[in-house]
Amino acid sequence: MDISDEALCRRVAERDEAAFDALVERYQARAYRLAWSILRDAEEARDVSQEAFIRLFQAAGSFGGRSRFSTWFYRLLVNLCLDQRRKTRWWRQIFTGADGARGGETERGDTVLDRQPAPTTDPIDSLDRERAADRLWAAVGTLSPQQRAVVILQAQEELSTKEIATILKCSEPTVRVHLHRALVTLRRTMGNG
Amino acid sequence: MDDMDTRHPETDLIAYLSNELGPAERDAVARHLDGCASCRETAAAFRELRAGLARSSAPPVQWPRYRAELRARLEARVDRRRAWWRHPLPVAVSAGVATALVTVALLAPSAWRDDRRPRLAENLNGFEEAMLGTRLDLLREYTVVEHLDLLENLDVIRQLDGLTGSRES
Repeated sequence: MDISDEALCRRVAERDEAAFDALVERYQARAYRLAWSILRDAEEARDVSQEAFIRLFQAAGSFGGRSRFSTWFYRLLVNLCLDQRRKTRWWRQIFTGADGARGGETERGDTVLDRQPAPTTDPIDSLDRERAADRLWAAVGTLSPQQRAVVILQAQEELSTKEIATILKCSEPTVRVHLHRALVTLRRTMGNG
Repeated sequence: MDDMDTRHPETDLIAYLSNELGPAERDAVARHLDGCASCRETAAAFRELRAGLARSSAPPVQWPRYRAELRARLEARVDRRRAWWRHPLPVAVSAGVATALVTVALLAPSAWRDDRRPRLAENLNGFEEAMLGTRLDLLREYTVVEHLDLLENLDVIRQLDGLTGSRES
């Protein structure tokens, strides 16, 4: 029988390295994918997701068990991602210039490289599907980091509004507003609305 | 007519699509969707977008390498923390030297100032003595100088040096 994430985290707090390795293996793909979806940069995503695991190792003792381990860990990770966005925003603006052409609540700090679509790993995807995914991720790149985090946590990680609110430290109605605005923006950017 | 029948659900539509509404609210949104083609289109577009986001994946990663990097970073971090406790003597010596330097830096200027004052006074006294020494010849003729009237004895004053020389000889 699999040990629960919460039990593994308690073992990590007692410096059980095997438990730490087990948690890393369980969460590495999700952590990296979530970081990449928010940061849109593979190098930064690897760096930040690894940093989240290091923080997990150091702070496992502070996991009180009031929420699920995944919520606690995602909160750690999303905060690191948002901090990283804030840190790199100024030089992104220098290299890209401050263009307001994308309008609305779009973020203006993405480089051309950032807006490159994620390469798909599924060989059976059709070209049209790839292009649609490319356009979708380019559109995601225009969202604010908070909106991006909400939409990814909901669509990819299938977290509830309550869990997302806990991760982002905001109310559930705020999460729904972020999500609604993000989807409206994506729909408009994709040319469907 | 229910308020939801006329008002577009917007954020409630998000909760509806996530199955997070209570039965009454859920029925209200469903009724609205039955009668509103625009909201049905929006709901379909939102579903499609979320499905697209769920499918998309990040660039591939070599997981063994990822874990090796993570392990190296973690060990480096832990080693840095342990270093304090592993080598307490050098840390204590460094701390002692630093404290001593700070103390010297704080106390030296005032000590230097205190030290300088008597030396200056000594140097000044020496200078004054030297100046007085150059005038000793004049002081030897003090009795003459004492009775001089500047106007009447101008010639004597002019010849004081000669007077001193003649006495010495």
